[in-house]
Amino acid sequence: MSTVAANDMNDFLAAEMKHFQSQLNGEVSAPINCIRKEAFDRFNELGFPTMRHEEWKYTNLGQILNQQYELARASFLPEDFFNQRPFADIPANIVVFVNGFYSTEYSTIIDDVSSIGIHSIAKLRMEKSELLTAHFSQYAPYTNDALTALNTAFLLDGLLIHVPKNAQVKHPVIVYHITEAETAAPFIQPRTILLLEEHASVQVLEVALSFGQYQSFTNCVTEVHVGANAKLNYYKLQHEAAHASRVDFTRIVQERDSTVNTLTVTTQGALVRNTLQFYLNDQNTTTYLNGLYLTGKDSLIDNHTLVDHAMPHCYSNELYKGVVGSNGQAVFNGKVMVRKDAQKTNAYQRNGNVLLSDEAIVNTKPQLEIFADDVKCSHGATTGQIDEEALFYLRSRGIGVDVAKTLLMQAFAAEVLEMIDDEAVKAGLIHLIENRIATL
Amino acid sequence: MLSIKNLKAGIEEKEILKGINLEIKAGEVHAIMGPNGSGKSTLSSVLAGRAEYEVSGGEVILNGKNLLEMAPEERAREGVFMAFQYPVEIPGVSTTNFIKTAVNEVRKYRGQEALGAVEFLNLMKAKMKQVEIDQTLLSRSLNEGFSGGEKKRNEIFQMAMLEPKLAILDETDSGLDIDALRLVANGVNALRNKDNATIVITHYQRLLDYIVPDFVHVLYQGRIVKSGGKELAMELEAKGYDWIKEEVKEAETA
Repeated sequence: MSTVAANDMNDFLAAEMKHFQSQLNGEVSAPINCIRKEAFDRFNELGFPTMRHEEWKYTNLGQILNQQYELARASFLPEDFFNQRPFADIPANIVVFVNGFYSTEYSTIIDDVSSIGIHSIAKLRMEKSELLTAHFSQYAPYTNDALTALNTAFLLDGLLIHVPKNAQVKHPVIVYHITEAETAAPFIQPRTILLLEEHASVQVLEVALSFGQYQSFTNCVTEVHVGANAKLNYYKLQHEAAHASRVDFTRIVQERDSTVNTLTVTTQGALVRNTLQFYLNDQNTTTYLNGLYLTGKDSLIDNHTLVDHAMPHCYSNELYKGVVGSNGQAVFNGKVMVRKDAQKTNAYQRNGNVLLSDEAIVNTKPQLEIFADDVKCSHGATTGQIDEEALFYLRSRGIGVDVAKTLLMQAFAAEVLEMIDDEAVKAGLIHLIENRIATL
Repeated sequence: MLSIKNLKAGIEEKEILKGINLEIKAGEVHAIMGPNGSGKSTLSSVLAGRAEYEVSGGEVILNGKNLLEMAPEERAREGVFMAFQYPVEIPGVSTTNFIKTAVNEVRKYRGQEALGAVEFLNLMKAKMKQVEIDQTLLSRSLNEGFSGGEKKRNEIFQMAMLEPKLAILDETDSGLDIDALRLVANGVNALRNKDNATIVITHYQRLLDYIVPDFVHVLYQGRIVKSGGKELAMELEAKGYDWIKEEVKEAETA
């Protein structure tokens, strides 16, 4: 079944690629287009991953490839929907994408252009931007990842954020990726490039939302380069409809003395697969990876992370937690690589899961590969049910069983959010997560 | 207020309570004492509604209602409060938020409106003063990293906030030094009135110097084998439990 569907999908993509190339006009011979064409060839060689691939053992893409999609085009966004977005009250640089296309109508940049460049990739392409040519596909290679190759092949629009040397961006950047699935089932492939030069600092919050009754499939790729002594807080909230699916590939390259804090929160989705990879290129970097997944009925949420320690004196700390209810499935695979030269590495990893029902499934796999001999590393994974003693304690004070469970789950999840230092963002996330947990 | 008749209960098919009879009226304080393994903890667990204990006979009526048919939260809303021997640490749940949720759930059950932020704060301040507990404890996660004494004082504070009709103090004195014990006892005494009743379950007589009972019952082998006034506690302190055990033995062989 799934092979047939994947073949249909391949035929569909081949036809779309031909059409796509025929419309590029002057860009056909541009360097970016060479990358596109090579990437598409590579995609065809690799093919969509199946459950026979070790990295996709528990996650069957077949079920989303099996559907009919339209290649996304610029679409509409109802004002009401936009006005009710999360974090609407936070003063921020607002960037809005609808089905992967930049919306000039809804985007507002409040910080000075000298401290931050926020660009639509479509516009940069038209301008034959050096910045885009120099950085596109430099940090997220497509050679071993079919979906990244596919995203690269179809590059049309997306976001490039450039924070110049020494710039401390005052307000957060909130990027709304909104899926319109009201008129058709869209196949969306956004690209994000984040570039922080030396000593730069910025906070980026990505929020994925959706509306409409059709299924959707987003295949997004983010490539990040964090310069020496720069600091990036990069938070993702995946808050689409239960019938939306998403494959997210994010690769972050860190230079010397840089700090990156990431948080990936997935509240629901039919199939959500996050691949988050860190390459620590130089010494003394700091990396926090936090994640929270709330997996409910008919939902599969998969997080694959990699921290590749190649240089000495780097620190990484990972905490992913999940609450899995109904017949939900969660996958966590956390790989930490400590290469031969990466002495004095400190690498910690923890994954905790609570199962709310007998049908809920978690597959968790911490994977430490250590080739250096003077390091401190630890990992641990736990999966359990709600603490009955704690539940009884709350109930014995008059708190009903459902409210008591929700309180305990909220407390369990809250630890992941502690690392957020922006109180407004934290409060917004807590509110959203608390409401969602109550429905699991 | 509370009427326990021929209560039999156990855990995993082992019968521990073998027919408890006890009548408690509003305004009274009853102490239940007994050697280890006599069934004291089982009695408090059954009254509070722990699921792992199975009731095999008898009844417990609180103000005309069958307590044994109620879920733990319903019992609490009906006015039962158990101060835990080992209060549970719950990281991530703020003490204040927890108590507010509890108070408002109980109020909802009683047909009262939920307390707003200001009213709740005022109530909390008044009760904090009454039971001498510090604000800093309440701003932390529930019982997390609390000392033994702090945990027990937090129990008494919760009791003050929930204003139960029947309070059960389950070995509240265990592990407390004399200062902590005095603070806890002061709190309990401050909350006593003619409309509520208290059951003090304890292994030691010491607590009863501070919370003076109207009645003392000795629990042994799952039965109340002796009842008396507060002087019975003194006698137990002086002579230990052996003479009680002897009496029971004699009665059985006779």
